[in-house]
Amino acid sequence: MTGYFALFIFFLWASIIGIALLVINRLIAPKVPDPMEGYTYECGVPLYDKTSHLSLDQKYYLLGLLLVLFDLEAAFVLPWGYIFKTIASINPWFIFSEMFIFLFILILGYIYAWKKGALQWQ
Amino acid sequence: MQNHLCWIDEEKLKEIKNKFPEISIEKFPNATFIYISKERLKDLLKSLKDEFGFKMFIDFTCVDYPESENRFLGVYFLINPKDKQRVGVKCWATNETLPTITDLWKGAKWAEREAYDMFGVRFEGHENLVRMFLWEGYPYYPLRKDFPREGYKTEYLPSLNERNKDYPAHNYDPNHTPLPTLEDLERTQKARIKKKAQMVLNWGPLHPGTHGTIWFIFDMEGEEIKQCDIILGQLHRGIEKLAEELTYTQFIPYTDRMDYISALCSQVAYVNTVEKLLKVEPPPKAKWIRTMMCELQRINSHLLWLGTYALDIGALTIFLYTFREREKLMDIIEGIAGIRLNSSYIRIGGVSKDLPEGALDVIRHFIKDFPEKLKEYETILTKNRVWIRRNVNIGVITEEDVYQYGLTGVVARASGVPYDIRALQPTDAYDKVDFEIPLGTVGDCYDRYLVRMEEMRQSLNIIKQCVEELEKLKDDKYLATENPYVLPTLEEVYLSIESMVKDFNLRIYGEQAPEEEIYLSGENPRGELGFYVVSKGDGKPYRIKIRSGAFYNLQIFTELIKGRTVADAVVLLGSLDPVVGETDR
Amino acid sequence: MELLGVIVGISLKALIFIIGMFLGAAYLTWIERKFAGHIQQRPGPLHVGYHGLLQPIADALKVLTKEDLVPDGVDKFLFYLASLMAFVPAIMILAVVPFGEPFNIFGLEIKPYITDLNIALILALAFGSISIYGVIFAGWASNSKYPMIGGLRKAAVLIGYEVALGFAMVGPIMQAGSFSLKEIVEAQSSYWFIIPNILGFVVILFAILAETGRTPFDVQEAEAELVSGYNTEYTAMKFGLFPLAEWYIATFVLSAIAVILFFGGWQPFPLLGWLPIPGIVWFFIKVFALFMFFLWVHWTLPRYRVDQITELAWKVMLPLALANIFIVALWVIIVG
Repeated sequence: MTGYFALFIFFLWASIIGIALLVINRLIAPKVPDPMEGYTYECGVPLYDKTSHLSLDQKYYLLGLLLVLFDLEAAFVLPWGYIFKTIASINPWFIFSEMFIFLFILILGYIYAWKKGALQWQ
Repeated sequence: MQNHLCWIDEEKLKEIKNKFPEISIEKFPNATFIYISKERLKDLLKSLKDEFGFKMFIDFTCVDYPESENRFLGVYFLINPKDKQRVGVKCWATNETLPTITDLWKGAKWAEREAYDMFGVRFEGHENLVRMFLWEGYPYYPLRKDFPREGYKTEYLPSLNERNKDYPAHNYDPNHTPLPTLEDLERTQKARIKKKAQMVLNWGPLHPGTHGTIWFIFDMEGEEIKQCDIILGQLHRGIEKLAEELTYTQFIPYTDRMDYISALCSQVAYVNTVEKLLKVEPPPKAKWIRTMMCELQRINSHLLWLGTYALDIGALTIFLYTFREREKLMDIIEGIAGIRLNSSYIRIGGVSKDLPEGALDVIRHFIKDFPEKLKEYETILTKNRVWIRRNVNIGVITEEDVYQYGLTGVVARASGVPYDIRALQPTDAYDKVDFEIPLGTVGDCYDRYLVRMEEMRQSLNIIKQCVEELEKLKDDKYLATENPYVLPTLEEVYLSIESMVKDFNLRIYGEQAPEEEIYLSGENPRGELGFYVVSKGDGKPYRIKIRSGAFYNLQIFTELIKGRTVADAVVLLGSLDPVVGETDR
Repeated sequence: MELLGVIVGISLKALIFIIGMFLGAAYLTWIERKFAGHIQQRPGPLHVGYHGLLQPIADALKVLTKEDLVPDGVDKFLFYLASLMAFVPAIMILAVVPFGEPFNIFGLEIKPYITDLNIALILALAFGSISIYGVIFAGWASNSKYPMIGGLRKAAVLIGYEVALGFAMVGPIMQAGSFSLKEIVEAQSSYWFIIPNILGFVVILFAILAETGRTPFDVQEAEAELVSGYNTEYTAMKFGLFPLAEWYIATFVLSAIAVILFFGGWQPFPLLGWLPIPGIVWFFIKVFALFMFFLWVHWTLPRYRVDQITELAWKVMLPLALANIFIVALWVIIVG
């Protein structure tokens, strides 16, 4: 538990220093107000759209879905890797084939996604 | 079939006359024009394009004749790339309107907008006839003869009047010509593009990727650009207007400030036009020097292009590498012309200074040194996977596009059109040197890159030949001062009274050119730089129209960028290589 | 009382680490600028101090005294949070990085790491990913179009590399049988894990470049396209934290992780073990070498387009990472 406690304290200090830097900056920096100071930067010309909190189409929706799937698979592979060496000394081909059946199915899915064009930027 | 580009021949004129009996033909030593009525203009142009092979659009402009009945005269220039012929078509704009020819040549779109902006001539059927350089709501048409050169000084601009009172300025006028306000700009912006997709992004004018102050508007869906328009004019100085009040010699420095990256090439193109008009023949040495300087400037310009292009794609180091070589070139140019960038070195009838001692040695060293450096750039870029993926198949320009848009220079040659004014219509010593014209096959950005790299090698080759030739011409004259139109050198002015009188006359009254019209062009690194000069027999031109290669080359950008992303926009813009000084003039 | 002692002790160590990293990162900027300068045949910083050695201090002071601008219409909370989000997780990775074995000075045992957790590697992976949220937040909060596009591009890069990164890390874990970075280093006493894991190392190299936004993958701020990308609207220290976190702290600590995974951490170079060089120095030599490699790549290559990055990640890097698992599994079974 001390390990995580140390991590927490480290986190506190990192945040404190980060915040302190911002606060110091705000305290010591000069303030020279200018009428156009808050104008959003768009190359120095009037904005066509006044706000940029618009819906914007980024064409990686399918990739995003695949990311969720594959990251989950990675989460399965990690503990397998963790115990691989221990089991491998007892029954190497069992643990090898076990995971590679799993990975094989995964790769089948991957090839399917590739063939379907899901890996393309739509 | 002749080798060189010339004006339309008798045979073709006769055929055209048969088909259109109402035309009249106007011939000058260096230009041929066909007059046609407004009603028949479209038919004539269409048949010129389809039947007579004049399929390449070069330029369109207007000339203002206030005392004439119809006032505005539209002038079209076309080229027949197969038979290598040029033709000019003139048409009076009755009621200040002309039919649009954008359905024949897409490249006429901006030219017509420019004419509308500058003269107020309206074009019937133009898809979006808005101002080209000035903002929407600007009340005047500046190139009309009744518009004063200094403009209408109506605005009191406080920021320009905050000055130290201890140092009074001469002729200081507290009022200035109006500047666009934020609302003006907003109106301009809204007039150009109607939002269709998700977000409209202003890309430029103050943007590191736009190579100067070009204002792009992208209508985007995600990162994909659905439509695009370009607002030019941030660097518009009205050079064509200024030219009307200056003598031919006085205008030379202004040509520097158009394409400031290749100032010498612009000077040479302009001076050649004026020399043809005045029938001045420069001495051979001057011709060789001009050719050499042009090619040095071409390498210089291409190096700057390579550096900034690579910088745009993210390869920061190449930029510094090219500037290392460019600096050497700048030093050479400075040593010869006295000034690094805007040198005004070329004069009517020759060049302003003789080659200094040792100049040729320095150039010879550069020639020896440079191929190795070129190889260095190519090692880093040409076969780089990232470079290839960013360049290949981006912005493919077909041969048809080249004719449609009047693309010239590297952009045309990368698409496989061997359109190079140096070879087509050699001026100076270009007919005596031996060089190849590199051609691309696909017409994408990668081809344009390869063509420019190869062009640098060819330029080096030309410079080598020039240096050899100049070695022989060491003690020759560099300025044809015996000609009545050529300004004498300073020494002559001091030593002889005739030269002094001549100098005085030329400087005060200008070169009294014959009443003539001429169109001549030079091969600028950015494309064909043409000068259409209308002379009324005064010391000042009646009208100079500058046909800018960058202006026409940039026009295809809006078409090519559709369906591509912002990341491709930099690549595409970089490979078209516009210089704002020349597009805006 | 004992708890207080522990807290003070850890705090002291944490502060030493953080401030050390801060100064270190400041001087990494100097190294980068010098290195870039020499790559480009120019001297780099030269005038502030001896060979520009005081330049980082001057820069830090400048950033600290710049006006703190907040543009109109920004989401103020997220706007400030974003720079912290980029900075804090990046430096948090440092907490799990062991720099060497515990050693004794004046009878006091000093551990050159904050904590040795049994899930250190997974934590490092997680913190690395979280720090990317800083960029995405910055993009959204700024209420400006260039940052918005930059942030979305970064998200796309993240989507590309996260999976390959996860799979590539399995190799060393299999060989060491542990998630603890300290144990992974200790398992490399006979040979470095680079030997069967070469493919995994390649994937991780690319992933680090992508995650820290260095050149072939710096699409999120591509200055020629997006002005400055996600940090366009940022000024002063809020801005300063981004490059500090991304380009220096993250690159450095992720290099450290890569060294631990593949190059034996503080283990000496093969055949050079007899040299009287402490482990921590070996460690820094390796980390710097890797850091320099990233700089070298950064200052040489052009930039990919964002769709090409995800394509590269999914079509090249993921198969490589999977192949790596296969190779390592066979290696462990056959070699042991």
